[in-house]
Amino acid sequence: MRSLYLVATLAMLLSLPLGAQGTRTRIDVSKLGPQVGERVPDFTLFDQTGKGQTLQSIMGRRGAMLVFIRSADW
Amino acid sequence: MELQSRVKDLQAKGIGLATISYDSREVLAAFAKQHGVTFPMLADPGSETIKRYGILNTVVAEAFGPNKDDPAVKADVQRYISVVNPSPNMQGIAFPGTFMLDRQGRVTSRFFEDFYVERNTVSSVMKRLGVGTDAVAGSKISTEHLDLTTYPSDAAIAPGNRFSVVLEITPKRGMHVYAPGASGYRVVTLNIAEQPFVKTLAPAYPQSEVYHFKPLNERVPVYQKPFRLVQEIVIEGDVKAQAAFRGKESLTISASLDYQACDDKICYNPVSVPLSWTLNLRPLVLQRPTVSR
Repeated sequence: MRSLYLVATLAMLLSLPLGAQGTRTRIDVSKLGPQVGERVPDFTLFDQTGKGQTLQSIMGRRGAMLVFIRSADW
Repeated sequence: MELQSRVKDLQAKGIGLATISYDSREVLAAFAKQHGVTFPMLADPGSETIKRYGILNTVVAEAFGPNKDDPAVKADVQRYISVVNPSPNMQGIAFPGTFMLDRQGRVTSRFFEDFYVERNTVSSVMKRLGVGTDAVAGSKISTEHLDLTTYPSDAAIAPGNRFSVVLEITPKRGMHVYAPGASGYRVVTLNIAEQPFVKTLAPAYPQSEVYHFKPLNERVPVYQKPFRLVQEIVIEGDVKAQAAFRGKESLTISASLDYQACDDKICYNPVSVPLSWTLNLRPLVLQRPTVSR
């Protein structure tokens, strides 16, 4: 009878969800944003000279390198 | 400024270049003037475009929010925010990364950098490779054929040290890349750019498998499952090397990963993926501590 009680308790403990305190899932940056093969969103943004630029205007004849940086300030 | 030095090369290849950040136009104008930047630096204050790209660094806000003590949040702060304490004015920054685009705006490859590899998740490799306890900066890169995570074994080195760069490569579904012994194909090779006082040792390749390519009845050594390449690098420590590194704060190693991928029907053109690792340089000779009276 005691062993049955222990097994039942263990089964109950194991079925409780882990992280019941609310640990969210870790971020995997490789899953964020447009993936290989997908088209990136268009944009209209001012550059440092005040000129408006879009995805088309920054494009070279064979493509483009679009670099997101954290900040130029720090 | 590293990107500026690449402008001519990119122009020659017909590839446009622009940066995007949450900075105001004024901040970018000052930076561009100071560094002689000739390519567009795009201002996204308010981070509307950063959000539409899905790469807003949400960890910054969490570092100040109600769940800042959540272990997963703390681990992500450690991983994705710089080693200095996060400050509220960092809210709105993007996760830094690069998209290579074709003329239609489709992503051909992507490089996401500057996350800090946690030693305990790769501990078996790290223990073998390095003794440092710093977190190291890693990069994640995707091409049409494979996903790659790369990081150095140490965050800081001194002249005379040996360290390694690790490449964890996962061929995409149905793909394989060629392993040593595959004649007639571009064998996966890490080519480190030559640089004074930096020497490379023979790379360590894991065991490959034999692939039977039925259309040609060929049997070739390949990697189809995730595999790891480890490249040992030595920084010379003689007097000449020490003099060359004196006063320098960091060392950047550039390389390319060259490979050829095929699936079960066709072979793709060989690819060359540019890579680099930047390590902090520790001086070999410590300054004498000053004694105050």
